[in-house]
Order: sequence, then structure tokens, then C-alpha cells
Amino acid sequence: MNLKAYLKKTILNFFIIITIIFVLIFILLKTFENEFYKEIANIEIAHAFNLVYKIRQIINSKEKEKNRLLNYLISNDVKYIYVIKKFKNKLRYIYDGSPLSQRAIYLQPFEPVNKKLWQKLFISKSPVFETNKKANGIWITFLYPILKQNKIDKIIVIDISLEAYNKFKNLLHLFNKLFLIISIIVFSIIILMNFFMFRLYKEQFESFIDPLTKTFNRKIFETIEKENLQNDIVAIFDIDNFKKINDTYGHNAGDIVLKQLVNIIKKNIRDYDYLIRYGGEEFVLLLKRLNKKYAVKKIEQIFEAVRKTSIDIGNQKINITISGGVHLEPHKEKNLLEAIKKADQELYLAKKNGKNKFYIYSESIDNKIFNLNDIIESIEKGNVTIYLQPILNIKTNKIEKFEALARIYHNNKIYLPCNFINEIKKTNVYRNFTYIILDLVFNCITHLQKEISINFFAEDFYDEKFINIIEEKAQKYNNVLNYLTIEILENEKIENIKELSEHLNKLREKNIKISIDDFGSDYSNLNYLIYIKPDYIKIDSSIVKFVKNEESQKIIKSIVLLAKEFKATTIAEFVEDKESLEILKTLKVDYIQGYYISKPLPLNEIKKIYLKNSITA
Amino acid sequence: MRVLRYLLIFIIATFIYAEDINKLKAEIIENISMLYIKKYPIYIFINSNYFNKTKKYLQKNYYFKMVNNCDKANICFVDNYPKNIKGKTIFLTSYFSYLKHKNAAGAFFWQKGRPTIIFNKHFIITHHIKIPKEYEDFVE
Repeated sequence: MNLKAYLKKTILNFFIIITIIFVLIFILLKTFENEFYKEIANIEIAHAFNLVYKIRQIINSKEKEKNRLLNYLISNDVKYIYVIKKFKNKLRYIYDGSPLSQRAIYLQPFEPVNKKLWQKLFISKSPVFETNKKANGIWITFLYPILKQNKIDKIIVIDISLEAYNKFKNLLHLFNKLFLIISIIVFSIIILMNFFMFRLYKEQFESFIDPLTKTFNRKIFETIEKENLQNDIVAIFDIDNFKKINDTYGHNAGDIVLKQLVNIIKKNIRDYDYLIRYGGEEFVLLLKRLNKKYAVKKIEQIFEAVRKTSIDIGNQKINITISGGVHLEPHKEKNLLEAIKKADQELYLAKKNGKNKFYIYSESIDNKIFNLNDIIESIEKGNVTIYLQPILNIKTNKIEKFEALARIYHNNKIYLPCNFINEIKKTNVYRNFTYIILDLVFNCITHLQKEISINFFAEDFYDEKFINIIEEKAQKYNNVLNYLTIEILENEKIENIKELSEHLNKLREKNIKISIDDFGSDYSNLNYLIYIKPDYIKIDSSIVKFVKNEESQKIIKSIVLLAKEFKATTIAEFVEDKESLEILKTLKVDYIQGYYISKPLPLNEIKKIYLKNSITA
Repeated sequence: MRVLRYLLIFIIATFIYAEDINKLKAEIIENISMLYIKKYPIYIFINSNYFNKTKKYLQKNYYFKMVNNCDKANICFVDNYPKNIKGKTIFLTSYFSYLKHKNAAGAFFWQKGRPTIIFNKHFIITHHIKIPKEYEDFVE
């Protein structure tokens, strides 16, 4: 989440809280006001009840000037006091203590305005009252019936002045003003506290920000480590060939590339997703609350956006690509860093297998890398097999060779060596794995009596003992080494080529043939032809794949010529259609291999198909 | 008439809510006048401290014309019964005056923040004025 999003959220929350507080205060004040008026009205009614006693004394006395005596009871709060009597269904004044200007004369008709109140009085025969804030100078009208033989004889009317109401109203206004001032002070304190809290948060927030890219730095993990990762997706990205960009265009250009990459990614994610600079050119993306299917689309969208965008580095525009690893279920890991580690393994594979792509780690996806224990378990259980891919001689149109490809079974799924070989390399497990594979290959040779090639890393032959292992294994079988071809894989630059050459010559002495795999790709070096003296040169799939292009044809043609000069036979792999086969034929490639001829098959099926048909394609 | 009757009741019943008492007084004068005078415009003469401020409201009504003396008026609202005037519809503004002058049509005055209306029964009978049943409480 960025600072802007935080601000938005905080301000919104703040205003919601303040609005709720003010609405509550308003309701509270109104309730208080109503209760307050009810209470003071009750006080005034109680006062009126007290007056009734005095009024009754006056009207029952023998005094002649009763109106004048009633007038003495008039005060600031009591505006009018009068006594009404019913004569032949008509109400008339009999006593009136009101001031002279408002005083009615004896038997003057009285017409009640608030008729409902009077009806209530005659029905209930008990005191009634009505409050009215807008009456003409009158706040409460209080009616008290004087009963005679259970019938209303007279009615005492006391009008409480609006002045009494206003007196309390002013008091209430004063209280309201005081309350308002306190509210404003409290409100100001809240705002001030929020401001200081925001500044504090901002300082803390900035310590999580990478100064160059303005993304989060690794410190943010301390915070998000505690977050629930359910429904979240974690991805790790790396700019392809970033070192080259720095070396070629300078570090300033490198910085621009990093900033621009961040801009591209930010345009494709939401405010509450986390983009973290994990290392130099490595970024971690934590996509919050995202459906898995949509997450993959989102990652694809980011990749596509990066590919399509040209980055202006000052003098020129360059295009970059990124590689990535994605973990769709990080919540299943011990913690976020563990999930990132798993995604990082996928990033490594994506880099290794040509870059500009992303691999997904998930238990539910078949290409899962299993851990060393799983591999050991599978190997110990003998869940290892080999598949054979036929290699066709173009001239004779016959299957003359096979390439052996290792497979491991685990939990009813088949795994390719590329999924696990790096995990077991340089361990005893790798050696055990090699024993099993050699056994399986020698068994196949015994059955087919055909040349079978098997892949090994060049570094395997740095150790002379490895050659002895092959020899030891072959002793169990009859004449198998004559049919064996070792394909040398180069996953890193060969450091001591002379020593390797000597060891390989020992293999050759035992009639084992040597092949250079993936010739023309990453680490291929022409002087390998001098030292390794291969019997076969396997043209790299990245060249054969584009055999329909003129440029690829030129390279293949050159490799074929070069191979002839070194008395080596050429094999083109990755042949997927007839057109490619025809082109390779014209280019005078000796052998071809690929799905157009056959996919890799287990020994049983190979025997069924090829031995019956005299091994013809 | 029914409309007028309800209007009068409504006005009296709700007078306590009215912010301008003088406007309310003017409306009651209009209603009383329309009960007694059956032609338009109605010429009204007012000479009372109670109702002096109602004139500005009555002047706005097209059906009423304010006049300066009782002679020119169809109906008068006065504190004291005018001398040498006969056959006019006179409303007095105190019960005391009303009791003194039996020829008065009635009384209308404001007391204790409330209106008091009295219609003279004798006047109603001699002048053949029809008072709706609902108003009979005001007749005496």
C-alpha cells in the first residue's frame, strides 16, 4: 500500500468517525434538551399544583375582591390565573386574577382554543396540562377541576408564562454553547493528534521505502510478515541481462530502467498490493486477495507490458525483459520469506531456460520441484526409468540410434531431470542415480543392440573415477560399451579442457562414442572440437527450431561443413515437421531427432514399434 | 360557507402556532365580515387598539376596502359604540361595551393571548343572518 492510499484510507476513516461522533452528540443533545424541558415543565406543574391550594382558599373565602387576591399570585412565571364555570353548556369566567388589561368580567363567555385538552379534562375529571412553546406568551396551560358531588363545578386555569420557558432556554443555550466550545477543543485536539500520528507514520513509512524506485524495501517484511497470506500471491522478478545494461549504458541508465520497470508494474497492480525491491534488480510482488487464475493473467499482463514498453534512457530507447517465479499458495509455507524462496527457485529455472518467462510454483501444478528427500525416496524405491527417443538416419531413413532420457516417478506423476537434477548434483544421490541410469541404458542396449546416447555433464568427467564406474557397470553386460554414446552437456564453462580431453580419450579407447550436446548454444566453444574430438555434434535446438529461416540454415550449413572437417557426424534435434526434415536433408545433416520422428517412449513400446518394422521411420 | 366555517375553526384552533398574531386577527375579521355582509367589496372600518395593526393585511385582500368612518362602512370593529349610527353591523372589542350596547352585532377581542368571539342572538334574528351550527357556541 502506498502513502497516498494510506492517506486516503486514514482521512476517510477519520471523517467517518468524526461524522458518527457529531451525529451521536447531536442526538444526545436533542435527547438531553427534551428531557431537560420535560423536567422543568414538571417543576412548573408542581408549582401550579401549589398555587391551586392557595386559589381554592381564595375562591372559598368570604372575601369580596377575590380577583384582586388572585392577582397577587401572578408572577414572572405565572401569567394568568382565572376560574371558569359551566352554565348551560357554556363556559364562563367567574373569577379572573389576570392584570386589568386582560381581565374578563364576571360571566363573560370563555371559548377554549385547545378544545381537546378541555374534553380530556371533562372526561378524566382530573388535572390536565398542555405545553406549547409558540403560544402567544403562554408556555403551559394547566387545568385543575374542582369537583362537587363527583361533577366538575369549577375549573382553575393557570397559564405559565413563556418567560419561564425562555429563562431555562437561555440556560440551555449557554450549556449548548459551552458544550460546542468543548467539542471544538476536543475536535482540534483529535485533529492535532492525528496530524502528529500521521507525521510519525510518515517517518516510519519512509524508512520502508527504497529511495531510488520508491517501492518498499526489504524492511517491509517485518510488517507484512504478520499479515494473513490466504488468497495472496507472491511473485519474484528479475531484469534479464541487467548487468549488461549497466555495463553498456552506464549505471544512470540502469537506474532509469529500474524506475521505469517499477512504473510499468505499478500501473498494473492495485494500491494495496506490495511491490518490494528485494535486491539490486530483483523485485518481490505480493498481490493481495487475488484469485489464482486472475493472478496468472495479472503476471502475464505485467510481463507483456514490460516487453511492449520501450524505456527512454536519455539518448536512446531500449527494450527490456524480465524473468519471474510465482508462488500461488504462499499461505501454505511457514512464512512469507519461505514462499519467496520457493518462487525464487522458479525464477532460477526461468532464467536457466531462456529468460523472458515466468514459472509457477504450486503443489497443484505438475512441474513442482520436489525436495531432496522426495528424490532420495523415489530413487531408493527404484522409481526411476528411462525413455528412448529415436534418432533417424536421413540417408537410409532408418532408426539407427536412440537418446536415453531419465524420468522419476513420484506420487503418480512423471518428473523430468531438469526439475530435480540441480537439487541432487554434487551429492551421493546423484551418483546412485547415475548407477541406476547406466544399468537401465545397458539393459536397453542388450535388448535393442542399437546405439544409445546418454547425457552427462562435462564436469562429471573431471573425476577419473567416473569412467571406472561406467566400466564397472558395463562388466555385467555383454559388449554394451560399443553401443554407448556419451553426450557432453555444458551447464557451465569447461575450465580444464585438456584434462577433460584426456579422460574422454580413455572412454574412446573403450569404444565409447562422444557427442557434444547443444552445439551452437550458450557455452559452446569451437576449440572443444579440437580437444573433445566428438564423434557426433548435436546441433542446438534453438537453431534447429528456426530452420525455416535463412540465417539458421546458414549456421546449420556451416556446422555441417565444420563437422565434416573434424570427421564428426551431425544430429539435428527438435525436428517437428516434414518441412524441417526436408530442409535439414538439403543441408546434409546426417541424423535427425524430434517429435516428428517420435516422442520419447519406454523400452517396451520401442520394442513393439521399431523392432517389428526393422526400425524404419 | 362550509369552507369558510372550517377555515374559521382551523384558524382559531391553530392560532397559537401562528407567528404573526395580527395576520391571524385580520383573517378572523375577514371571516366574521363574510358571515354578516353578503356583498363585495366589503367596506370595513376599524377603530381599535386591538386591531389597528391588522389593517395592512386587510388592505391586501381584493374583497375588502378600508374606510375612515363608520358611515361609509358595511361593518365596523370599534372600541366604543359610535354615536348616531343605526342599522350598521358593529362589533365591539370588549365584553363590557358589548353588554352596554344591545344593538351591537357582537364582540371580537383578544384576551390572554386568545381570541374571544360573541355573536348577538337578537341581531342575528332581526337581520336574518344565518349562523352555521358549528358557530352556535359563539352566539348569546
